[in-house]
Amino acid sequence: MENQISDDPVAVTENVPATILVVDDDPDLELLVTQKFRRQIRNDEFHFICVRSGEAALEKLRENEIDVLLTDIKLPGMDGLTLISRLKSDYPLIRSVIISSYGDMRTIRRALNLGAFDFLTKPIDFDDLGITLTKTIEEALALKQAVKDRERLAAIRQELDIARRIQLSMIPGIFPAFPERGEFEIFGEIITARNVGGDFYDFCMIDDDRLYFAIGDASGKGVPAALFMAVTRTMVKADAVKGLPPDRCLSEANKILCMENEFSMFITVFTGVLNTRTGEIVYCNGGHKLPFIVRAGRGLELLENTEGIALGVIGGDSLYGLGNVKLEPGDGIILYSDGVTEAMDKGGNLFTDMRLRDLLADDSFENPRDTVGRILRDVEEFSRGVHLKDDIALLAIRYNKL
Amino acid sequence: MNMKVIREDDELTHIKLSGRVDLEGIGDLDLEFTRHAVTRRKPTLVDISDVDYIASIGLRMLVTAAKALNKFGARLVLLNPHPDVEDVLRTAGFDKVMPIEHDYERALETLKTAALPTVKSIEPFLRIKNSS
Repeated sequence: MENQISDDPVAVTENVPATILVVDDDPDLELLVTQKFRRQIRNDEFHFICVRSGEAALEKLRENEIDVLLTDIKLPGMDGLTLISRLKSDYPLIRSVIISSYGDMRTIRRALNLGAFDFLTKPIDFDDLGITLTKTIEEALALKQAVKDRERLAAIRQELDIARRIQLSMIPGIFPAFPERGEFEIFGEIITARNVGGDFYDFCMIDDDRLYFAIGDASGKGVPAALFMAVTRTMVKADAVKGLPPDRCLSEANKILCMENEFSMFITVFTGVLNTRTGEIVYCNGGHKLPFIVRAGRGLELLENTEGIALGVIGGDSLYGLGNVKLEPGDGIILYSDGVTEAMDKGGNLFTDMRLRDLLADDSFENPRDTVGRILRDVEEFSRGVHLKDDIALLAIRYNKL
Repeated sequence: MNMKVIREDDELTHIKLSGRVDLEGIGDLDLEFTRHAVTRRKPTLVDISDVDYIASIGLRMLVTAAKALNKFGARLVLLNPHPDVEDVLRTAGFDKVMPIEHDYERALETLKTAALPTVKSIEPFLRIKNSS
């Protein structure tokens, strides 16, 4: 991650001298400055541009990238105070230091109120000038850097926002998803803890009467998890739409993930296929939280686990097994990620499987959208005032049969 | 998260973890953990009886160490997880890579049986070594 960001060309900082614009109608100052700071000038640390009037200063400001302005207050024509107020409105990133007569506190106060960063009094103490200039340059450069960083951050935010939209477009989000089919209803929801997340759900029709569905949770958060999730979701789906059974889908995806997994990431995936004519589900669990089966009027069942392990951990054959379950009309299946059950309240307590189970036990499961909404509301209420730590994914299917 | 090295000798590395093993809890301790658990290449017993929560980053830390040790023919065994933590480990199937035991003596027995990694199972780790 950090490497990626520092590769950004905007981040490259060149070693250029700080440019100081000196404005004084007395030519002695120019001479003194170039003598006093000749070492810094030779070492490309300071670069001085000297002019005799406020008007000339404005011209130089237009032509050059100035870091610090050093100006006398009394100037022929436009005076130093006017110059400083122009600076504030037109060049807010340039810091200025004024030179005033000793004891003219009123002028000094006015200059500071107009935005001057510091002041020096005549006769100029050159040691003090050196310290003042160094300090002012540091301030000016830090300010410029902060602005650059903010622009970079905005660019990264924008990219993350695009990534988020791409990610969300991979997850089916239009409901009802199959308005023409009455034999089942499906509803899913994803809530990401950051811009992009590692949770997903997915579904599509494989043919006229087979619905593929899956839910998954990649380890970690943010962009790395999102990338890992996107790759996995696509591999599993690619095999599923070819008609491969769920265990094969996970096994094949797992092999590839294990081959190319330098960061030891892993992802839990549960996937199944519902026969919409018979209500039969074949499924395979790759280390994911086991879904609940809601039996119409007969309570809740936790699905039986299959052979399986989170994808990306170990490769090999026959790591994944198949399970079967049959839904009767009115029954449903609820898949979720641990972002639900491990949501935290203010005291650091977890939502827990038990609370989800209790919630579902009271649910009539008349339609998936309401049930998912009820779970999310309860999680939200539970973790009110706490920043969401993990992504949340929920997918619910109700089998109606016709 | 806290980490305490209980024993480090020719036969065994025995480490005790406690607290919350999540992103905030781990901090820099995963490097420390890997240094003790993996670089010694000895059978490693990780007592997690005082771990009250484990997030995916913690699972990743343990699995990475277990896989690396497997490569050297040494096992990593988890001792005494809290039921909730054990549930997380078993659900994810990680007990296949890191056996879970509830008895110290039994854990030592399990550690003695050499790990039998399939060639494929160590492949990801080999790739890390080669590329770094």
